[in-house]
Amino acid sequence: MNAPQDEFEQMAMPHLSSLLRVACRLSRDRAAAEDLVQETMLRAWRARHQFRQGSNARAWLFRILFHQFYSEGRRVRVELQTDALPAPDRTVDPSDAMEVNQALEALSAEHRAVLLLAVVEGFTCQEIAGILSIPIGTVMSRLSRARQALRERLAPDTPCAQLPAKGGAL
Amino acid sequence: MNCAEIATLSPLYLSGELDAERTAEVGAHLRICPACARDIEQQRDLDARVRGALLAELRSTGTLEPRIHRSIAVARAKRRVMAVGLVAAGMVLAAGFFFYRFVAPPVSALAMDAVRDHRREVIEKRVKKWRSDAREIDALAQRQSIPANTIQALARSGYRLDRARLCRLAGSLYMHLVYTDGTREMSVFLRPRQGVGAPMLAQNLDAESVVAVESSGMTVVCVAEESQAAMKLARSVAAAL
Repeated sequence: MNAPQDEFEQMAMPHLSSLLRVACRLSRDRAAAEDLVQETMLRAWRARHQFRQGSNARAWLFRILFHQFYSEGRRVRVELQTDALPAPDRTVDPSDAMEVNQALEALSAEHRAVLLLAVVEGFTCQEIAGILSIPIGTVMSRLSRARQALRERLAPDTPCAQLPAKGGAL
Repeated sequence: MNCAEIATLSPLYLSGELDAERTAEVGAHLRICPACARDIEQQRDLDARVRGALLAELRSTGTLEPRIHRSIAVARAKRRVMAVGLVAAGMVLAAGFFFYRFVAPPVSALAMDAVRDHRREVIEKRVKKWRSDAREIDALAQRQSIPANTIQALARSGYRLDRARLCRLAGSLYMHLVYTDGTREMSVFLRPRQGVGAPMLAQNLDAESVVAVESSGMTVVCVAEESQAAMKLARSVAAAL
């Protein structure tokens, strides 16, 4: 049974898949990610009167998502379970997707967060600064370092043995 | 613009956040610096590769969406219940305030003062100036516009008027009458009043029971050590009035 959608749901629900994608990267567990997104949406609904019409709803929702994630103290070290990763579609080379995923997981949580928001979700540095409540200069430096680290890991001539140890605990 | 500045500004350049002037400066540098141009190009390729890998993930929101709709519906219902509860609580508070402000305080203040007076003047016998003579009491009552026959009529069967004096209860002057059956004493406070009478109100304060009766012509407060005795006294007073 679906409840009738109000104005908030019409505004927020289109961003559900983006939120879930990032939540999965943060939580590394599908069930926990769904709980996180559900709680995010509920908090957003409760705070919907604080949202200014015409401002960036997607950035607002992501801000709540990250705030919720960090406030719940989910900074636990969780090893990446490869079966927890979603399956790529058929247009992408599965081995390449796996390689990218592993390289991402090796990044620190801070670097991974800015990279996901900038590269995958398409937020600007200014928006990311707002979402993560950090200065824009910090966003820029984290993004540069994240790209550099990822490039080193994904460079075709870099032997796996030379890759630095995994450090992406949250 | 040098290579270090390009490296610093590359995140803003790639996200398109640089203004037109800065963008042109970076573009000019990239045209003359193959190393920076290659670096930016590699960053673009890397972004595209990451984006491609992650956006291709099959991530269905099929089960999550109804869950969210349900949780919002539940939250909405709770909020409605809370709003109704708040309105109801507000109404109860308003009624309580109204009762306290316009009904209860005079009786409560009156009751507390009456008990205090009864305790001090009758039980502890701290006041010595009483009028015991019937004529003096009648004269005192007349000065307070209280009919003399009312005073006698108030006595319960087995009780007689023992003494009287004037005192203040809740800021108003009352005639304090003490009735006794020889062993027990009860206080009756009388004051003429105007307007429609209110129903009888009874309160227990500490050891004493207080009953206030308001008729159209008189406010009467009865104090006894037993609630039953106070109620009986009040009923006889109400009947007499």
